[in-house]
Amino acid sequence: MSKTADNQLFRVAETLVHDILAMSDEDIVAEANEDGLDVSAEAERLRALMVDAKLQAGKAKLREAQRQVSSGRAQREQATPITDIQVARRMLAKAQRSDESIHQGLMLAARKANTPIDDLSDNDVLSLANDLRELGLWNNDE
Amino acid sequence: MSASKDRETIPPADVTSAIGNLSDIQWIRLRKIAGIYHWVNGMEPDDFLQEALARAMSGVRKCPADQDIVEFLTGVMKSLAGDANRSWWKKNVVATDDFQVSQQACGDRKEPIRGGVGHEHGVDGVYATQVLQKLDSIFKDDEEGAMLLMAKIEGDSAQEIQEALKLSQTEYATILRRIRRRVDAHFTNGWQ
Repeated sequence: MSKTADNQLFRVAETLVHDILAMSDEDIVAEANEDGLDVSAEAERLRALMVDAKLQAGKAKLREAQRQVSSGRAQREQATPITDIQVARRMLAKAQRSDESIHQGLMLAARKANTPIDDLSDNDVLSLANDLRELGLWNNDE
Repeated sequence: MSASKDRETIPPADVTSAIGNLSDIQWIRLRKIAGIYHWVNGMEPDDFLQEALARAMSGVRKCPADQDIVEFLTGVMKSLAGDANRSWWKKNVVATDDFQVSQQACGDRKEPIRGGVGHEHGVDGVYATQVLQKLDSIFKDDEEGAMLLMAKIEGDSAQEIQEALKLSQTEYATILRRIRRRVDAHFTNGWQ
C-alpha cells in the first residue's frame, strides 16, 4: 500500500500540473488576482530565487569538479606502477614528441642528472614515467 | 540509442539566460507548478522551485534546444518530485552542504528544512496515504470531482475518464480546474 500511495499521490500531482500548463496567460493572471496576488511583485520575488539558485548551481559544479579530480587521482593511485623499462622509454619518447611541456620537463631532468635524455638511468626513466602518469599527463594505455 | 538522447541540448549558460528572461506570467506559472509538485517532494514550494532552477542552471539536467523553457523546468520539477517518490532524496540531497534537508516531526508529517540531516518523506508512504485521505474528505460534497480524482488516482487516462463519466473535453477540463482550485484553497501551505 505504501509505495502505491506514493505513486497515486504523484499521479494526482501530475494531473494538476497538466491543468496549470493548459492555462492561458489570461487564466494565470485571473487566478493570481483571485488569490490577491500582485503579478509583478510576485514575479519579482520569484526572480530573487534565481540568485540563490545560481549560487547553488555554482557550488554543485564545483563539487562535481572536485569529485572528478578526486576520482581521477584515486584511479591514478590505484594503477599498477610502470616497471617495464622498454615500455617506459618508448612512451616517454612518444610523450616528449607530442607534448612540449613534457619535453621541457625531460630536458630539465636530464640537466639535473647531468646526462643526455637517452642516457638517463632505468630508475630515472621509470620514475619519470610514473610521475607523468600520476600527474595525468600520460595515459599508460596509449 | 533513443530519440531523446539524440536531441540537441543547449549549454547551461543559455538555460540561465532563458531563466533570466522569463516573463512575469511564466514565473507565476512555474510557482504554481512548484506549489503542486512540492507536495510529493515535501520541500517548501520556493525552495523546491529554487532547487529545480539550480539543477537546470548547473547542467545536471540538459535542456533540449527545441523545448520551451517552462516545459523544461516543469520536467525538472517532475523529476525532483519523482526522485522523492523513489526515496532518492534521502540518499543524495543530504550530502550537500548548502541545502540539507532535515527529518523533523511536524505533527504527523515529516517536514524537510534547511540545515539538518535525513528526510524520510516518500519512503514509507504514510504521508502520501494521509494526503490521499484528506483529498477524499475534501471532495465528499462534490461527486463529479471525487469520481474524476479517484479515476486519476487509479491511473486512468483523460480519455478513459471522459468516456466512463460521459464528459465532454470541456466538462472534463472544467472539473479538473475545480479540483485544482479546491485543492489550492485547502492546501495553501502544502498538504498539511
